[in-house]
Amino acid sequence: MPETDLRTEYQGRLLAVKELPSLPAVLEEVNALVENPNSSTEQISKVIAKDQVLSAKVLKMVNSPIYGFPGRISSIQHALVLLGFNVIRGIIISTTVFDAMNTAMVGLWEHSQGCAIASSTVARVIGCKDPEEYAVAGLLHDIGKVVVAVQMPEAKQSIDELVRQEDLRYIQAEQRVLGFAHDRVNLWMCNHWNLPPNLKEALAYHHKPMSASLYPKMAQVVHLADFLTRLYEVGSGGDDQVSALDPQVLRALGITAGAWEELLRQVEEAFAEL
Amino acid sequence: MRKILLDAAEEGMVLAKPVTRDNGMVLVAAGTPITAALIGRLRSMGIDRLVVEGEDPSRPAVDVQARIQRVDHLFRRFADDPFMTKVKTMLQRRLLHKAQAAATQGEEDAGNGSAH
Repeated sequence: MPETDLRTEYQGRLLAVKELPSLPAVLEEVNALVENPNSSTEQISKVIAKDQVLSAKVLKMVNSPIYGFPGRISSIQHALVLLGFNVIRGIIISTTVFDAMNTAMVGLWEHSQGCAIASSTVARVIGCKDPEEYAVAGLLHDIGKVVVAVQMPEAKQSIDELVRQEDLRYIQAEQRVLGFAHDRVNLWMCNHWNLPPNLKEALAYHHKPMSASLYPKMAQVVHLADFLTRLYEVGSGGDDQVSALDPQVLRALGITAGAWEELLRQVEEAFAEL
Repeated sequence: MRKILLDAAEEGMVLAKPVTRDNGMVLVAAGTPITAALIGRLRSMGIDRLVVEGEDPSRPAVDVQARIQRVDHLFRRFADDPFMTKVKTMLQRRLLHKAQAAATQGEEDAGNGSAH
């Protein structure tokens, strides 16, 4: 079978709606409210607060050190005002997907949280605005791995075997087994869930950050954060190697030798807080 | 600053971060000294982890060689990549510098008789 057909078939299976991690019903309601310019954050937070389990999880997450307001956010409305809708939506998606699939990949949740806090730390050090949006991109950057693990468990098994037997990085093994990797799956999921373009680019290009065209900075920050999370071995992304750091990224982000030292110091501190 | 299990908390340690409930409510403020009574109170509230001031005394410079080897291990498939090799060398050199600085600091502290 030609490679493109194979890819289409895989894409079809990954997107098979009935098994796909379905997002909570409130999220659809919230999406509709957000599109209406007359909605208030009060209305939006009321809809989220209807789902008590979800609200509790969201509140727990927004109060982690990752988002910059540890222990200070007491309501969903407060969270919406401080962090914005995109961040809350990203958090809802991550809890839903990872909750349903907690056991699919050991260590990936910790790796994702590590990458989230590293992303916001990098963003803060280099002076980006809205570092919490970077945190959500970091949190979701490997979501494609979870989706493959759940939708195609036999492929996941072959990937794990290749990683073990040939000492490959997870992304290399994915490419061998599937013909594409989790960055591609990320793109499909972003389209499927209608995620905003900056998040979509960060998720789809975190391994080729210099190719991102609309929001290169977000892809570059997550790329660097992924490397750092692997360097300090926070959780596991499926193998025990660092990711390939793109030589152009440090320059593109304006990170000089002095800034690099400051960055490592702050990232170490951030990881210690997790 | 380091995160410890409540079971490992001892009198005389100082909280580096506030203890909070899941919803963010602060139970005990940062900077509070830990007492036996506080440990008991936190245990009854179901808290199992704390962030306290200071580095872990059981993890001194001995770890540095192991950490440098670990970095070698993490970069093992990039031996042919000049840029990655440069990054690795830089990271390992930094580890050595930090260990040396910590060792000198330790000697000074021992001389002054201060805790940290």
